[in-house]
Amino acid sequence: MLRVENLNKEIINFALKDISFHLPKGYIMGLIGVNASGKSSLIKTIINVYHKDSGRVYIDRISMDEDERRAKNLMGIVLDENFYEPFLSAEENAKFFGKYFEHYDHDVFLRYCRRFHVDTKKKLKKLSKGQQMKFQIAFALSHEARFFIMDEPTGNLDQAFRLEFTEIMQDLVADGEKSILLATHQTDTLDQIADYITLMDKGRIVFSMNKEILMDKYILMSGDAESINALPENIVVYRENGLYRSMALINNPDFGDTDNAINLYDIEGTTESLGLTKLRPTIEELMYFMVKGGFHGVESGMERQPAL
Amino acid sequence: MWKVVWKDSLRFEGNAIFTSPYVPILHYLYLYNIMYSRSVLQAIIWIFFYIVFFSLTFFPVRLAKGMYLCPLTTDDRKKYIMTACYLRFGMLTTLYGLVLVISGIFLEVNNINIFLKFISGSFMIFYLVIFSIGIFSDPMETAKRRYYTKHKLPYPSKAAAKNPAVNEQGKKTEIVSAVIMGTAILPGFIGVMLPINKTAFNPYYLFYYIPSFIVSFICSIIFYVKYMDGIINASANREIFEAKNVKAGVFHAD
Repeated sequence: MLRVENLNKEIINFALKDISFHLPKGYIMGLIGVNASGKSSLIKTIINVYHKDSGRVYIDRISMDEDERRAKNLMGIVLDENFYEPFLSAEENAKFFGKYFEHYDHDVFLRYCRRFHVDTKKKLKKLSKGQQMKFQIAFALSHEARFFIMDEPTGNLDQAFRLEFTEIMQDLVADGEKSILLATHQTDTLDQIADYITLMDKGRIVFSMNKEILMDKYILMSGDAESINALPENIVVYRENGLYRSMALINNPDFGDTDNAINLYDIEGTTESLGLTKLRPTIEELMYFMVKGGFHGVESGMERQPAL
Repeated sequence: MWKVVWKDSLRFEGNAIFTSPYVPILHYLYLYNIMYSRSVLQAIIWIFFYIVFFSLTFFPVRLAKGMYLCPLTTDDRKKYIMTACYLRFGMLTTLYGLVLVISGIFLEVNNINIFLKFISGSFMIFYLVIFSIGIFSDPMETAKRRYYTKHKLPYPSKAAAKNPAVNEQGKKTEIVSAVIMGTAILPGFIGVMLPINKTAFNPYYLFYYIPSFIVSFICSIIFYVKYMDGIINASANREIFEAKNVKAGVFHAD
């Protein structure tokens, strides 16, 4: 559904460098990274708000450079800042911008607004940030988009709506025809719904891979400081010694089938002899340990993904 | 739709600071024109020029940000911008025409000249007041920072300044800016020192000639001496922004 090839974009003292990844139909991809890692810039470059210096972006095999109109017709865009007219009401905005979309359905928009409790008669600038976000989501859902690109959509949303939003996202991809690229710091949402995880750092992609593979690739070890420190350096991504409990993210020696030094390591024996506990890391824990460890021992690049 | 188009044509971008180096040229040309010309036509042209200049300075035509999320081609966006331009031009022309018609009805032909000069003088003094406030309350560095923040652009660091492309662009614009400033300062000073043409003297002129001379003279001195570096930097930055398709992640028409 989305293919990004060798995308480069320089923004004075920041640059997106050689970004390549793809998101197949019917899947949700979480785009994660620390602040200023380039997530928002990447999204704005994908949707052509920023001019890219080089590279290609395809939406459902349609080139953004060659046929932006067709490509954008397929896109439902939700950004962390309001791009719509603040002096118009939500309904006026939807009517005005909706007419440019081939399949915009005003009734669908109003139905979503009622469901999200968005006051469609109020000027956008009078709505709270959460309400503005809900307006954007309602609008993105009302023109039969097949690829949704969302930048921090849940940042200003209440817990109840976040749960509803998660359900909506899952419903959207259920037919296997729609895809979602979701940039967020709310990694618990991604734990629930993401199929792929793309991690960015300093304008580069560290990795872009299937979430399950990613989760299998690493193990979170928990135990006392002495045992954690006994783990060999070559398998540890980052270790953190706490007052009561220490933890370390390690490369899973049982992952993959290559006979390198990591794969030869007897993790089961070590776990038992050192009295450690093996845990499956969450995305938040993965990101925390990887960032803290400066991506030491993190295999970069792309995991093989299903064909588009 | 027209609501949005009209709003677009009045989108305040706070970039008045970038046109500042060119204002003294306009100002001095205006003074010369008013001092030595008694032509109604020239006064009309000048007033219209002022209106358009201020309008574009304070409210440049920009495309609504939401349009970048819509399925539009480059040509569509260009058409949209042009519509906003035509609307602005049409509105200004209509407004200006109304002023002329009303002044024509209520004033004698001879008085139209004075009336138009009065309007021009008001514009000029209005601008100089704004300009003076700007100088004392909003230092160039702050204005630049605000511009960068508003556009969510990373503020150029020393590392960015070392970028050869940025430096090269900066050097070119420094030369251009220096030439422009020289062109503005020299005739300006000479103009201020020249006596007012006795044949054109009218007691009414005291209301705008003398304050204009004094204010513009002081402003020019303060502005150019204290903020010369700022002008050069701002001008250089503007040039960099104009090459935004390559250098910066800002919005674009195409």
